[in-house]
Amino acid sequence: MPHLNELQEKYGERGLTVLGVTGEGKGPTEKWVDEKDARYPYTYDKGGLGKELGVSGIPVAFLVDASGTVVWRGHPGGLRDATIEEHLDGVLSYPLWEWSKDARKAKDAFIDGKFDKAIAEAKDLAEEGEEGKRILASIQAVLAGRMSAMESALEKGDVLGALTVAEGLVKGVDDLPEEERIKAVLKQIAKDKQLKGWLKDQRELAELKQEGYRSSNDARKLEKKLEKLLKGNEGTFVGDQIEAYLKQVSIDAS
Amino acid sequence: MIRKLILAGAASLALCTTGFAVQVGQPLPEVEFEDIVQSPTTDFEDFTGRLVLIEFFAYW
Repeated sequence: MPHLNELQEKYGERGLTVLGVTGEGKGPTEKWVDEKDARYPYTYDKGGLGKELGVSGIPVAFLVDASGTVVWRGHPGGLRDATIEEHLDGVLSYPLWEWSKDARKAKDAFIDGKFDKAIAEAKDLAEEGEEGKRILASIQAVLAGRMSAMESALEKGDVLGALTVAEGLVKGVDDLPEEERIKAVLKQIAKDKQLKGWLKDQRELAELKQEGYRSSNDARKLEKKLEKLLKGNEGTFVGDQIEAYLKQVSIDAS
Repeated sequence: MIRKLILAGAASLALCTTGFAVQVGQPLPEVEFEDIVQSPTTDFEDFTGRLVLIEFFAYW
């Protein structure tokens, strides 16, 4: 609990929001929050988010980046500052809850991932005053951050990561300078034989992780599948991902 | 005997590594919250574009 207070205080201004979520009742939760002096936002899970995220034990935390992608999960005490720092680039510096009512259209477009419309609206607002300029700069910085994340993923061979970012962006960048590059990346991933192969293996690994295992026998079967998947991928990004999971599975298989 | 059973149960629980519904690298599912307390906003959509650390907790 003190750890989360510290994170909120340390990184809040730079773009981190800590959000506690509980499935428990209001009365005892409010008392507990008060006693523990939890100073960050919290809420009640009524929509089954915990179930959808596969939460089976608590406490457990999920770090969600500016694009809405889960980038880390684990015990909250195990979250390192470096992981937070890594994902602070490209966050919205001027948070949406501070935008005035005049910026409603830009806000709605931004929430929908329509950078083209959000930027057009923000440009109009920028002609009227300082807030518009601030909004415009914030949106452009987020877009630049996503472009950088896409390029970086592609460069290190994280094809699935690059594809996820590119697909998320492509529908909302009509006539923006970034459109051409995003479409080029999508085309490259669709045509390049090596990239297609890595993507296929990343997706297969994701499926195997999703299935998981419930016994040492299951773990042994999975171990064999992972060893097969690793062949030819050694030294690549997907190979490192497979090896990391294989290490975990092998412990339970032995 | 009982101790052996308890240890076997604990070992089987430790091994029960079922797949995560949402993995790292996947998008956060649609979120519905009744309200958000101690927050500058009560609408989760207002966190769009921020880095959000969601922690599941219980008072007990």
